[in-house]
Amino acid sequence: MAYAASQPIAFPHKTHIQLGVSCIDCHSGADIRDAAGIPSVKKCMLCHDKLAREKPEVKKVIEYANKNIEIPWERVYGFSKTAHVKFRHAPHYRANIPCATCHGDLTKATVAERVVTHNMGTCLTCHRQRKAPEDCAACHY
Amino acid sequence: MGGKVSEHRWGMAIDLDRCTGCQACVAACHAENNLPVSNPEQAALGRAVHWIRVDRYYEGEFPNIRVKHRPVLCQQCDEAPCEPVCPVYATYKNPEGLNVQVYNRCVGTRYCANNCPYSVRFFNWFDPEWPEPLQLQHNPDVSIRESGVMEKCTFCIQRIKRAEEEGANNLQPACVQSCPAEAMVFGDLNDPESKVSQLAENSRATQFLEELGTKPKVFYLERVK
Amino acid sequence: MDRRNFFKIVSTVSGAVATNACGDKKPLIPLLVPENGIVLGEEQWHPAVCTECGAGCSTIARVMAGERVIERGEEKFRERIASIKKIEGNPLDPVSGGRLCARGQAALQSLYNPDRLRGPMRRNGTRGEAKFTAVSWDEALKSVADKLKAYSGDQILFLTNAPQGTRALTIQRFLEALKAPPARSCGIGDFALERKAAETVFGWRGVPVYDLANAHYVLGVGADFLGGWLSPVYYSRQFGEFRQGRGGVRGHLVQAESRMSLTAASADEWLPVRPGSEPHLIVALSRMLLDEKPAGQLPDAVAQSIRTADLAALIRTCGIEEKRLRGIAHELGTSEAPLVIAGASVVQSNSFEALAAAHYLNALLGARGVLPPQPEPPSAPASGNVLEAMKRAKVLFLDGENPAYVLRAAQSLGALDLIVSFGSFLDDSAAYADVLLPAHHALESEAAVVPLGLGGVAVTQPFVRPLYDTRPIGQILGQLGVAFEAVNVKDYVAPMLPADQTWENVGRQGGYWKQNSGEAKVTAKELKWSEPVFAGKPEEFPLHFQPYLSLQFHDGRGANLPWMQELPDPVSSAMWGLPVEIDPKTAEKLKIATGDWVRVESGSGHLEAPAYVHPAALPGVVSMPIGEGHTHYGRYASGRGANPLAIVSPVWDGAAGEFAFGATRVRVAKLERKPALIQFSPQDREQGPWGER
Repeated sequence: MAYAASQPIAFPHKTHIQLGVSCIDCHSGADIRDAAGIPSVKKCMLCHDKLAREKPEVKKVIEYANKNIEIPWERVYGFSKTAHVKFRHAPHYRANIPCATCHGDLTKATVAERVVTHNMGTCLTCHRQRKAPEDCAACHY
Repeated sequence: MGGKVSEHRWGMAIDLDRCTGCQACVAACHAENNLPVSNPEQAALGRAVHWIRVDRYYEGEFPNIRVKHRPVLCQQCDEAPCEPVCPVYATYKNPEGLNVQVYNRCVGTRYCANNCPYSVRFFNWFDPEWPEPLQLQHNPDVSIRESGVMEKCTFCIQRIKRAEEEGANNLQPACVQSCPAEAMVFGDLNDPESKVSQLAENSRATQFLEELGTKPKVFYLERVK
Repeated sequence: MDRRNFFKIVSTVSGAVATNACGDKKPLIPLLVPENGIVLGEEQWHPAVCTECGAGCSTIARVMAGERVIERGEEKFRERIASIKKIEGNPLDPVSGGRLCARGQAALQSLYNPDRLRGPMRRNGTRGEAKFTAVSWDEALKSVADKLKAYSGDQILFLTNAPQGTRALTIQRFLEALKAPPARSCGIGDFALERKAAETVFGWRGVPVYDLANAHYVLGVGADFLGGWLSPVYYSRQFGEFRQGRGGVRGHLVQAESRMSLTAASADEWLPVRPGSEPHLIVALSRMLLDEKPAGQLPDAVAQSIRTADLAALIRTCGIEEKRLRGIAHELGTSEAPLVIAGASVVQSNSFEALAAAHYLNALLGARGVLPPQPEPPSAPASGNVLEAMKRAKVLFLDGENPAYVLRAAQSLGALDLIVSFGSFLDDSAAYADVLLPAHHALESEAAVVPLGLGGVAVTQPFVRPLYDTRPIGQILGQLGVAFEAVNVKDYVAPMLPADQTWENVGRQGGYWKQNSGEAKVTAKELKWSEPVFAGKPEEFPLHFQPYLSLQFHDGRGANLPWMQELPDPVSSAMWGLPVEIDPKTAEKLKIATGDWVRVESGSGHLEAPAYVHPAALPGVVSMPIGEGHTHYGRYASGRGANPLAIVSPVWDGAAGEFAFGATRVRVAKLERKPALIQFSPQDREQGPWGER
């Protein structure tokens, strides 16, 4: 079930990937840390300081940057606090799980939408297939 | 819950001949595990939470009286009395021998705390309060528990997880790490060379209330004399 | 440069993940672009210095991203900042060895305390009413600078608890430029007596360092070295080694104290000596030893004083059986590595004499475990009779010290012309201030601190931005219209370093340390001991009253830390309020049970607190941990519990002029009020359902 968040900017993942930007260029914690991270507007401006400044959506980015306020992206994946899930990206990256397994095929996506359901069923199915730990405390602590 | 049998079996040894009762471990646990802080009203109702405490015992009469200290935390029992009484399987033994409390499964019957002879399980009677900016201190590696669930010592499972990535050379729960007298030792009971395995074999080693048959994985080295 | 590295250069700019994960949305408060280079999920460790007491432990702080809400004008913003998550001991520091006491770890809650002062303020009510209005730094500084011009000399009094290091030296230079007397401390927990005894007997400047780890048989007298005396982390580590760190040898500890302290509880034997009889105990043991062995290094005059001492009278005074004392004297005399550690955890009128006598006893024993300190500069804290100094003063500067709490000085504070506080909190004394000029918190500051007695220096440089509109202490003092040069950490540390240490290295490590070594050579020639002086007639006030430095609050400054309020007291297991400790016999006589409210009255005042009937308290000696009973100290401490120091009569140590806070006599009466003592473990566990083990 795709969940379309109402994002402040119609960020096209597809366009950026086509230009050769890889996931961890912007979500730079995905390979080594728990959190993948959503990039700061400062990082957007590394390129958009020069590139595509005339596009209407990029203008919005520039406006946030000028006001020194982060773009209020709405997270589409994540767990509520009461789920008590301590998801760690790094071990999944190390196990060579493609980003698309959990985040869908973003080469076709524009604005991030929740296309993969993240619940214990999806997690466990994969963990079972790959003989990864099924201990509750692997994720819940 | 199955999964494969782990190579690790975590345990702890506490040398009471070294322990001074200074409570550094208690503060360390609060800092590491986002323990809720109560208030006088809740504390008076017995609702304060300390995953580790220092018990004190008096022996004899003045002037020939002795005071003894014993840090008490979850004993991570192999035969844990808390486990079979949970109607929803929120507490169980994990493959590494840890007695795990799953917060999201817990429905708050408190049977487990009632059945724990060591009184080391704590129910969240209220949502913890962290007046701004005290929340800045929260350890992002550990959940913040809400009202209605049980909680207890985890042997700092977040540190164990971290060690999976960074190597277990320096793996110590927060209490062990902080102990000034180096009374506490943590390690793998499956590794006969580990310090904790050797201390567990020490002639002074005992288990707390071992006659109950709980088979704790915390070993106390009794004070000399 | 590949793309990955191109991005890495700016990867110090953090990602903007809102903490609200799917499901629980927070109100939409805009998140500011972080100015600092903290990355979500990344951890950094930075060296810091603990200033919760004067021991000078080097620590390391775990820094990760955290989010706070700030207000700018009418609007609220969220801000992601580098925040400290945990403080641990610095593993490179031989003082802490990577370990840290409870209070040191709780220093974090002082940094992030919700009751911290947000910026400079000026009084807008009457003195002590604690009503203040926020003002600009310029206005606040100018108001102080304008007034300050009219005063000089001992009209100016500066009270600080800064340990030896850059802060203390900056203050010293400021006072020199002002032609004002050196800064002072309030005299609780700064070990001025220990310094004076070492200076008198050995000619040392600083507190001696005891090599506990290598001793075999140790006699502790009045020094709660596992509790709050000198450097508790250092001595706890030494104690672990002393007990179980040396294979074949297990150290034996005999502790003589008039209270069951943590050290007494950990000892193999406890000698419950009467308050003020510590010198008598030491001289009695010396006499017994001198009867059997040569005087060793002992000066003739001292040996002569000991030989002519009336042994029977000495033994009577301390209240310990002669046979037991002879046994201890014998053990000390025959031990391969004996050591006497004397201190004044509770100061009596004759404590100085006890400390000096202990130094002589070590000389007699040929004990090798008393090591000279790293010499302190003359800027080391002077305390003495601060109340007298306050009477002469017109202007008072407060830097961390709280005379209204420690010395009951509220009245003197009211009479001053100008009071300026640099502290982070509105405490009992700051409530009387005219101007509040909050300096950066220690964890936001650069500093070098010399560990108490030990060789080396601990260093910290700022690694988190100041949370509020505060300023470095050197900058504040520099803007009060007095020309002087504030001390820079690098300039302070660089000249102290040996050839093999560079400033860069020391900055990265958090300090450099060296082993204490050298011999203790007695240079004094005199030994005196006197009967203790107590305030209050025994017929009127039959009980001794001993306030003591608490594990959780020290001299009271830790009382605003929620973790420390929640920490069960090691004696009574009390939380959120501390009790009066009464022995079972006295309690029985007065029909007092644990939890009952009692009134403790001295010639100087009275307090009301719950009672804890302590099975190991000396009959006739009432003790109470210091820390609670603040009139002002934020939400966690204000109006909670009672301050034992508030009923202490001003008795000053005879030989050294220090505040003898253990020399007051009291009477106790039960109050008919609903019992209330909050304990974590209400019963001592031996009474628990599973029996004693």
